[in-house]
Amino acid sequence: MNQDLIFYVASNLVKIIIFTHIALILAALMSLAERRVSAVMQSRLGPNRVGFGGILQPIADALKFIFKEDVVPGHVEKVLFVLAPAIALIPALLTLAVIPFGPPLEVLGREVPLVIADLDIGVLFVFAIASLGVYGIVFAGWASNSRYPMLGGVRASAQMISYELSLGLSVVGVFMVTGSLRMLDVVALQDDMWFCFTQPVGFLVFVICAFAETNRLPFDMPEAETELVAGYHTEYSSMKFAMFFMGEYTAMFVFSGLIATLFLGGWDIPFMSAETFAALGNWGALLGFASFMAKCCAFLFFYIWVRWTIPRFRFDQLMSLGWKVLLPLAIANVLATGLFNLPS
Amino acid sequence: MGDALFYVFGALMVLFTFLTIRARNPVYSAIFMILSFASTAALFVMLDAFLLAAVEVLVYAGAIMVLFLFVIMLINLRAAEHDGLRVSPLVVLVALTFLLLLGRGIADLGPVPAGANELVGTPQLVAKTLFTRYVVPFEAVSILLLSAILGTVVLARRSGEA
Amino acid sequence: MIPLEHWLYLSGMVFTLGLCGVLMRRNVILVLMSIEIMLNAANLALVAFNKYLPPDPATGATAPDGQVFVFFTIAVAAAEVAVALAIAMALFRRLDTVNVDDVANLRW
Repeated sequence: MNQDLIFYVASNLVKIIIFTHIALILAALMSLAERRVSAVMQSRLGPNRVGFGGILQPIADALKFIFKEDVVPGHVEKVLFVLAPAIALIPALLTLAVIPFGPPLEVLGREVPLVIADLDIGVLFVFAIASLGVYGIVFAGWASNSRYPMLGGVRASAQMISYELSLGLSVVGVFMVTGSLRMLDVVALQDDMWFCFTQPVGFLVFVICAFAETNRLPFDMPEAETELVAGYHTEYSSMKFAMFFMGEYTAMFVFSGLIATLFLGGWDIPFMSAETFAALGNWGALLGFASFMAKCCAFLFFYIWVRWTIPRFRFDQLMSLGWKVLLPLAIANVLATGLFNLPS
Repeated sequence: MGDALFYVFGALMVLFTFLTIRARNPVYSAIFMILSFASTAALFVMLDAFLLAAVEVLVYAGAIMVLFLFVIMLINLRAAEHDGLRVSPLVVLVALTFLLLLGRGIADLGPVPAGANELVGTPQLVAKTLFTRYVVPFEAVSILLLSAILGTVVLARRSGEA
Repeated sequence: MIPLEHWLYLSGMVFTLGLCGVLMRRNVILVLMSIEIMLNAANLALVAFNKYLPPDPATGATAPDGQVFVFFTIAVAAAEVAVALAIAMALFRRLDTVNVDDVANLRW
């Protein structure tokens, strides 16, 4: 075994462990943030008893989830019922692999890019894996074998197919400019100007579709607690129920990371060029990492903000928004990008 | 190592395909088919067709199978699930004959290059071929997709609606 | 390196399984799935052939023709599934069945 290989394997293992833990810890913190922020917006206090200002609430919740009785109702399809929560969580974690968290770090004289796998097909990989996330919801709805979860599952599949199109088309503009699907190339090209300014329509469509793909209000049709009890996870309890939430929050983090990478310059800080980052060495890498995480957190806050601001869409409104507004907008964006960037 | 992976994923693909056509419940058929497509994507990666592997998962496993599941759930096939296989001697004969002919054809392939070429299906390379040599078929496919959309809308409309 | 024949045998086996599915299943959705399996087996063969295609003498590189074909197959498969599933839905709405034997008379 040569040293390069050992270093490669070791550094990747460390990266995988750190990045997945960032995502999962953030998911736990999000469950707290969601309640605290919504409390502020409704002039309440929210959970503030456990730990300093309620910071240990997620741990208390997790303990509660673990010790609750794990009810598997008698009328369910056992195998799928147990598998569904895992199917919801795994794709969200897999997509973390191509998201660049910061500029390359220098460890032991070797350069370590802060991305687990910088694939040629970058964003396509995210879309491919993220499109499998819907199966968790669909199988949960089907395996529960009762009315409301079933409706949630059917809604989820229709919603996902409809919004995936606009989601995919909205980033085509970005790739027409960069000429590469590689995440690091996309970040490098945003050194001067972020794509949210040059691709405002694509940015808007992507953000709206991100809400739909993660099943967040105003598009949380698959659970819609006022209509479907709790939608696809009505029959779930204990840790299985918690896994759906972890999946949802992880998916939200992944989409925040995608938006930061594709449209908000990744780890870039305004008026700071790539050379400045490089000159700062490892401190530059940490600064970039902090900047990336700040963007993600800002967007996660935006998720919560929207949730408590905009009421839920009706299902037919959701469909007509997707097919009649967002899809034409995304296609127009591709056309406009093509016209503005004609090869001379 | 790489060669062993071929046999692993090849065996998985055959196994999942077999389970797909054999499962009594259409939902389980769909699940096994998703897994079969996932193994195909892995095989595509082994053939260095990276873009196609992603497209395979995105389009087949991510979109087409969701559509299948959507329809299965919408018309609630639970009632009609126990149709099972209809194995008749004739069908077995046809399948075996077909397999035999196919095997014979492959065996008679003639001189086959022993080693694979350097061909890495990056998005850039595939797109370049797609938009130069195959630009006319590409446009034809776009018209096909458009007519499919129109046909689907017409078919899915309930009779009585204008 | 895996010889080309092994890829083709694999593709052939999967294709035959798909054929069996079409012949043996009576549920129209399963018949459709079996057709997709056959298309997928053909895709695998195309990609494998492409990998073993001799390089173009003019450029010295192998063109990804087979992979482009697979692109077209996938597009056609997607269009086909959309239309066929719409037909299955219409069938179910009108005749309350998805069994292909029940719709043998082609009229109602």
